[in-house]
Amino acid sequence: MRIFETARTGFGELWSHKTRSLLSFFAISIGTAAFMYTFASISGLNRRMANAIKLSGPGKLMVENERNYDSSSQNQKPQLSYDDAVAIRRDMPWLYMVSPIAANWGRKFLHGNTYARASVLGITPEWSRRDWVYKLRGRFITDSDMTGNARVCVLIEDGDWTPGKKKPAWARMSMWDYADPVSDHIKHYNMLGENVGIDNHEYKVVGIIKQPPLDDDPRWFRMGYGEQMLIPITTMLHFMPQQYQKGVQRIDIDTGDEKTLPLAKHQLTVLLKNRHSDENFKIRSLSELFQQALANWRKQSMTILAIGIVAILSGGIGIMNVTLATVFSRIKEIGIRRAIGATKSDIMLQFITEAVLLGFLGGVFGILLGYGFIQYSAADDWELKVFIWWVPAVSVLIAVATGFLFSLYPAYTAAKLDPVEALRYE
Amino acid sequence: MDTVSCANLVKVYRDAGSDYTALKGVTFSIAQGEFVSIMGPSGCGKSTLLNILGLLDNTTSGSYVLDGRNASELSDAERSVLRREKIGFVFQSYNLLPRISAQENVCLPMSYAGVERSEAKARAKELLEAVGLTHKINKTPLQLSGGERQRVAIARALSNRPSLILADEPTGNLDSVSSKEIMELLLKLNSQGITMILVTHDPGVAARAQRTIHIQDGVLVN
Repeated sequence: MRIFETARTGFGELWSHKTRSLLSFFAISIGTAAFMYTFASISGLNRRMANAIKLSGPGKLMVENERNYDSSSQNQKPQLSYDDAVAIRRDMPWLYMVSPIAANWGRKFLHGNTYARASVLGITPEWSRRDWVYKLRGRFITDSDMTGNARVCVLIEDGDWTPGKKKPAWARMSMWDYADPVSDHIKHYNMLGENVGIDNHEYKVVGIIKQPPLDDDPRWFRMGYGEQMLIPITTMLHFMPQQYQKGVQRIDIDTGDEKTLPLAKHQLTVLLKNRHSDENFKIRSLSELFQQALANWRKQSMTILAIGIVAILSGGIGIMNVTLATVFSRIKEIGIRRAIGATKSDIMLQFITEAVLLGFLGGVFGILLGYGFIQYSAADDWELKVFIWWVPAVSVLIAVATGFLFSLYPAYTAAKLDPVEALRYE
Repeated sequence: MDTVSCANLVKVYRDAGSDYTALKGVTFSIAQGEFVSIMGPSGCGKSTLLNILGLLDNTTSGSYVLDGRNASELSDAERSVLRREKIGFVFQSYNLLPRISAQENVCLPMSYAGVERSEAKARAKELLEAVGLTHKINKTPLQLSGGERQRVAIARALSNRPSLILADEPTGNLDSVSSKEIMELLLKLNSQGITMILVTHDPGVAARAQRTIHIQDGVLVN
């Protein structure tokens, strides 16, 4: 029998058992959607990671404090300090970047009549050697600012979203859409050259750097903590000694080259071990960090994938069940078809076609579902939207294969029915 | 040449250890274009014989040759092909697919034989017109009377231009007027050269055939 003819009959049969078909259809759809989402996000994240590594260079290292959950001051181990960074710079002059970062949150911010709390980073001029994605107005912090403990600051302006581009659903949620008063203030007043009060001292705004739009940010994720202004780290030491007590959070290193990473790591370890009695720091390369993040994400996506597999299996079992029920409710019909000349393969093909059709329809709907889900959770140009042709193709293929595999047994049952017995069946 | 030739046909049903012999060595032959009726009481083996003749069932021993081909040497697929190309079935209970139209029912054997769909539809229409159902080709079997259903079944049996029609009590469920019409139709087809084998209880129906084979307890009687 012609395949078109079989498909037509199959479609008619599915239609005449709508409820039964619909249940398997939905299970298959959910499974396919989960597959599609997982595939799309894995490939999207891989791409994004590759871009991020390309942007920041292969030689990034991060020296961080070992997390210390014991907050009582007696047990506080000595932390990384600005002096460590100075020592690294002195002993390892070949490094492209040594950038210590001391963060201070909740500092008093005063400009005009606006009073709020701001996050301040103490940095060195080498901070600008990281992946520079900013637009600078004015100037950045210089070495002479450092030596003079100059009360100057560089403001960080929020990049927001590219005008006219749709925000993804998660970004519209209140948690993300919260307008910070300081960020708002920076955005709305041109503060370049003006003075701003930070913790009862006046700082001159010498530069403003603007973040790229969030939807167009090539970085893996935002480094930093929503910081709003940069000041020289020496100035922070001098004017905020209480706050500086905590030391620096991080020393970012760039060797400039992937080959020198192990050497840099080794030298850093030796150097820091000499300066600190015990090993209360850890050194990670950026790609290690990415791998870590990706591994975490993979673990999560495995959960989604597992749900997908369970859904598609239950869809398959549903198809098997439906097909078996169909076979038993159509024994007489099978007898008639056999009598008028259908071969065993014709009968088998008929039931397989119905199941494959169901799998296909479920798969196509699942793709729409998955695509809708991706659209909902991603903005324009966001990583998930990196549309790869094989993702929907593979998803549908899995759905079709499920329909095929799970209908083999029922179809075989139908084909091996004795035509005489089947004809006599009422 | 004989269309149908049976020699010493035996059919044994094995059921839970006890054997039941439905046919105990039946020998006969039917020539091309003959109209033969098979008569006998219930359970005598008529239906078993018809199923074997229609290649729906296998013999236990003995030989059955249809148009020069020995049934015991055919594969399941070859039997299916022969069924749709050489044989047309007409059943007492019509055995139409209830949800599809008369025309679709008639198309079914042609679709298995690989006939182009447009051609099949045209031929189905022709056949339904020939059996007097010109205005009912789009009705489903449920919307037709018993006599009309049997005409659809006959049209379906004719769709692949068979040389042999096997009719199992074709008038068994019909009133006398419809019975008469169906018999006229079968006789007309026989006059066009189609070999007709008809199983019946009814001596009046059997009398219309050229020859009657009587069967009792699995053997032929005279």
